[in-house]
Amino acid sequence: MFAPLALFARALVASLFVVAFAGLGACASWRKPKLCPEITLDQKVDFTRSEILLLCGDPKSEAWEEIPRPQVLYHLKTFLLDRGYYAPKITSPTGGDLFVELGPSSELRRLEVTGWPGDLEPFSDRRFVGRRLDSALLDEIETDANARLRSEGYACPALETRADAPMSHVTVRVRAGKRRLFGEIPRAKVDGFDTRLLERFEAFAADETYDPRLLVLSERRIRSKGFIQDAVYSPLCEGEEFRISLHPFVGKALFLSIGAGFDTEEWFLARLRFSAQRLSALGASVDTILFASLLTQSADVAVDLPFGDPSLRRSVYNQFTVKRQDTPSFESVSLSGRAGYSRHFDTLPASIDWRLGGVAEQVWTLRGQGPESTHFVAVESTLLSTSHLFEYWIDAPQEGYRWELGARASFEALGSGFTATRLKASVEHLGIVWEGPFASLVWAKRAGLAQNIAPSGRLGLIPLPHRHYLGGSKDLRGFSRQELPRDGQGAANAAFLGNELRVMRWLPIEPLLFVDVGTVNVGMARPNVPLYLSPGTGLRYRLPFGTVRGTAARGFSLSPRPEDRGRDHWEFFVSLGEEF
Amino acid sequence: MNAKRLIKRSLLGFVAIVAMLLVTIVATAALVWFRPGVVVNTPRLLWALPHLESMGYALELEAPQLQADSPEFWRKRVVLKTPRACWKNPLVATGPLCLRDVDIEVVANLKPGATRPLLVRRLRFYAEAFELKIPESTEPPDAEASPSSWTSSLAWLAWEEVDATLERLRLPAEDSRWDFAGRLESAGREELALKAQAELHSTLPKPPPPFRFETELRLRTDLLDREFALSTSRADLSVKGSGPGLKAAVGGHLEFKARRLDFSLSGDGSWRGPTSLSFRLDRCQGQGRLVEGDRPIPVDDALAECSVRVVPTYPAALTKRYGSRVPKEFRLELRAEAKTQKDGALHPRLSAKLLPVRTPIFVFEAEAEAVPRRTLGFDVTLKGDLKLPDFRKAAAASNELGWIVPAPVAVLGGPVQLTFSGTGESETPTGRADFKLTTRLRSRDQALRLVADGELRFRQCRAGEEGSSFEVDLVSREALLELPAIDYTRPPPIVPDSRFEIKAEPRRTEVAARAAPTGCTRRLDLRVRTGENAPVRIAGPILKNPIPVHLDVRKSDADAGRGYLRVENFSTELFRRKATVERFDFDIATRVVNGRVRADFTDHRITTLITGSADSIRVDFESDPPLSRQAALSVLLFGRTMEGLDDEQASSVAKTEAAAKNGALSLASLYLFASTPIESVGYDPQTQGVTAKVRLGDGTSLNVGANDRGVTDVGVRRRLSREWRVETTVRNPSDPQNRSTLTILEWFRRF
Repeated sequence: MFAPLALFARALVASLFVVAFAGLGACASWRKPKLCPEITLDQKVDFTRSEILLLCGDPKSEAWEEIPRPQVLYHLKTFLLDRGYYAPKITSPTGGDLFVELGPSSELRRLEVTGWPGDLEPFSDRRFVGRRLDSALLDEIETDANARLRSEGYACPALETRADAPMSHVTVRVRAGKRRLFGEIPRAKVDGFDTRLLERFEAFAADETYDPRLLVLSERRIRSKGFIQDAVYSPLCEGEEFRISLHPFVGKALFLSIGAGFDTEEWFLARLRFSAQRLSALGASVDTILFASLLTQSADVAVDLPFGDPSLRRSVYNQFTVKRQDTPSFESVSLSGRAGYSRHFDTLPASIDWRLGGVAEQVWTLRGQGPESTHFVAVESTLLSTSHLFEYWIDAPQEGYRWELGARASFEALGSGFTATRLKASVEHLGIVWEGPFASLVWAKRAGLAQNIAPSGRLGLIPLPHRHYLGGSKDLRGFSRQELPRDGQGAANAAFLGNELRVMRWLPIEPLLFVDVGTVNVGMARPNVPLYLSPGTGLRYRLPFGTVRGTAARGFSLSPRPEDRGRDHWEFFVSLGEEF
Repeated sequence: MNAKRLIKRSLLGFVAIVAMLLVTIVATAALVWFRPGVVVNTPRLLWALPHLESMGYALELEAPQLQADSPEFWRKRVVLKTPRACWKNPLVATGPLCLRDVDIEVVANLKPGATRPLLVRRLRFYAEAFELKIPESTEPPDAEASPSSWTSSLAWLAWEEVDATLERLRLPAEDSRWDFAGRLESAGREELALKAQAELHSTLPKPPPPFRFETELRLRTDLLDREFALSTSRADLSVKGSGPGLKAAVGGHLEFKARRLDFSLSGDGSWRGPTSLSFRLDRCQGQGRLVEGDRPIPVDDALAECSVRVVPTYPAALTKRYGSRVPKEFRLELRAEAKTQKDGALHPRLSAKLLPVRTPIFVFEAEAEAVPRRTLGFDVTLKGDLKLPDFRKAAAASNELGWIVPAPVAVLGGPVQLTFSGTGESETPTGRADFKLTTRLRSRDQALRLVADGELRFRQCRAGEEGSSFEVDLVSREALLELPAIDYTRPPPIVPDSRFEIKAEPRRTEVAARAAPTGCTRRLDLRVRTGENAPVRIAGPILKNPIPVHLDVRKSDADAGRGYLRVENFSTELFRRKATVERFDFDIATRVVNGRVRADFTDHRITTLITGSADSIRVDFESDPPLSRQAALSVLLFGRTMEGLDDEQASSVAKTEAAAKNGALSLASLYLFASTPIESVGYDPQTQGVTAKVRLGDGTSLNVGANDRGVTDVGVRRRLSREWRVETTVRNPSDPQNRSTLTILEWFRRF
């Protein structure tokens, strides 16, 4: 009999709690934010610690413990103007404490740029119009205009910005100056090092229009290769004169690193790298890398022997690799050696790497349906082109392209265990398709095609590591790594196409949507080619030490084979450092 | 015989004619003497008027009646009556000057030796409104021409009955006009009463209400005595004035006896405004001796002393806010004297003294003296003294009024004194004033002792002439000021973002043009400097030792500022190493810096040379024994030569060197490097910005100066510590199928 009463009492108490907390919450939300006991604002403003010190005083300092009221008003107006509040109303209702009504802040409605060079596309205001008109926006407009002018060759621009906040109008007066070329950079020996060797890494030529991003690329290449410890290219404007100077830091030639990492495809991994640079006057180098993960273990020695004029970027490469792979489809150990000729070009707007050489490899298949032991000797060539924009934005992909063509041919007549030709092509392109004041939309596309061609019935002789697979974060994100084809035998050919839309600048965590589609074909002429589709979504977040991406996608089979039926599933990937 | 008889008869005839003529003349004269109305009468007047007009006196009389008679042998009386009399003289008035109901009776005493031969027995008229014309002559008045003495003019004139009314006399001025109205009336035989009103109207487009003055003068004097003997006179004077917010009333008594004049005045007044004032003429007495002669002021041995008390009534809000800190009253001692000196000239002198005004904030006193010049105007001397016993209170009061006395100066206590003295003359006018400002301010951690000498010269000038000038020489004898403990790596905006145009402000040139409409030149010369061996010392939580700054800065109209700031010989940190600033000069005009900072290491002495413009400084390094530029920078930044550096440190050296060479290393960057443990330095050639990763006290790191697009930071390698980093690499770059991106944490070392 008391149970309904007890239930009612509990419900009443719970309701009271809800009401009380709601009331407290409402009171809290109605309370005006207090900057310090003397200053109350009608809205919250994130002042910096230094600003608060100049507004509220510093109890640790006799001289700054109490800030005179007119000075507080001056600082308040200055700081609020910096945030776009151009007409704050500051009152002292009680005669003592200050009450600050932030007042209006305008949004940029019209951006007028005068003096913009006629040979350039007009300066776009899409990223700025509609945003709050504050000092940070003015800085951003100036930075953007400055960067745009510099990247188009106007190395020494001067800008003057005026903002009419009540009218929501900004005027930028541009004095672009002359359009410049990179010009010849003075090069001298530094600590015995011939800085001319750095031409191998430079993304620009003397007669090209100046673009400071190419200087950044050049520095990054030098650092990445480890050829010398560092180099800085610094442009200098002195009146009418413009020049670029090079500041190399040669450093020591030997380098050792030991590292460990993690990803959801290979799980735990470790790497040891030993590098010896500048072994010859022309900059020969040896890179040795020992790599180990739960799926792959490898030892790799690469020798790079440049020759001739450094500006021509020619070299002979040699590479020796021992590798063990343990995948769901197969387990293998391979021993390979490569040698050949490589050439690097840098012409606007892309760089091109071309390699031509031979490869000899012995493969032992420990598990799986391939030949237990086979070897091949092949001629191979690759052509890789990367746009400078793609390379520049490598850490925050949004523009540029990269494509690659490769071919390898092995012949039994030359001592190979099989005769086959392997062709591959891939392309990747990113672009900003829409730009607004608070967000940009990046559309990334990628496609790949790989084909093994072999005489009839000879495909089975190709070792499993050299057959084609799909699945994983690189191509079809709705399938696990190398899940397709499902029989584990690898495919004779594979193709995929990926599309991704990513929203930039909207949130710190960037959302993305994608659709990948692909196909694999086990035999050369098997009918009923399957088509796989994986739509999905994900998030991208840039941490100080790399980009974290997480995706969730559903893998569908559109024209299912018997082995595909009932195997549609969700696939999740988390990666660090991987971009698209 | 006949000839003799003819001559005789002729002579008799001549004599007879002469006699007849004489008799006729005498008879006529007697007739005129005893019956002057025969000659002076209305027909004669009507006959004479056209002749007067031809002589330039355009007088129109309406139905005049002129009578003359001889009541006594020596006294002749003339009576003129007319309903309306008008006089036209375009040089004097814009229209006719008309009198109505004119009734004048004048008795002339023709007895030889009479002291006052002319008696105005009755003077009655009503003057219609008229407007005087101001002569356009710009010639200065003839200084040597002495006005006739009023006493001499009275010597032949006496009054008996006066009743004159002036409807309105209009006197135009430049932006105003005066309207006078009044009535002069004799009240009894020894009393003359004058009631007059005056109004001052502004003729500006939006005129304020007119000022009104009412004057009542009752003069008891024997001037009206029939005996015509000026011996004793007494006058009671009452003047009342009113205007927009102004009311004043002055009453006084004058007594003239035996050529000696004594007077006493008293009165009060008030003025209503934002701060109302009430005046009181507490006591005002004077005396003097009337003298004859051609003097502008017909007195000698004159002395007048007055005491004026001014009590302000402040707005209630002000009183409530400042209470006893506002002055309660001002007391002025006024003194005027005139005395004949040995040279025979009269030397008048006027002086005013403001008795000390004491408030809890300040004490102020001043004196002024004016001496009339022989020509026009005055020679004026002025001196004063303003003391602030406690600057902190004055600063607080100033800040309450909205005038910024900023931190850290506002907390300084101690006295401030401003004394000034000057001379000038009102004729040209010109003048000069010297002043001296001294401060002896101190607080627990700060001090400010200044001495400023200045001179202000002013003169009214015409276009192209030199006008006023202002010179100040401010010398700092002791100054120790403290900087705030803000984050100097991310300082807050100190001045409003000048890119914002909030409201249309007049250009400086427009302001100058408005301020100096005459176009005459003005000279400004300000000099601020430190005394010998007394630099301004800047202290603060970020500085281990105060920075001694010598300065000598001048600002004049001709330039935007010149002079120098100089830091000399003090120990500090540069690139986190103990260092000695041997010299650091900053030229105000050219913005050129020139500095030498020496850092001593175990094996090296490295001198950092800072040159170039403040906007783009150039940093060079010298070392002993000689090191390469990179090696010197390596030692400075990381305390080691290049052999001991890791990749990131080496990269930082390279970038710092590039930035230094490129002029991109600003003074702020140097400060950053000097004060903060650096982990790495970045340099972006696109934005020419220097970025630094600095280690914070709590074990975390902060990227300073990096732009939001992260261009500088873009890379696939990020250092976590000296030998640890995260590297993102692409595995199998030549094998798209097996290519993968690898991010690993690794330990690394170059050797």
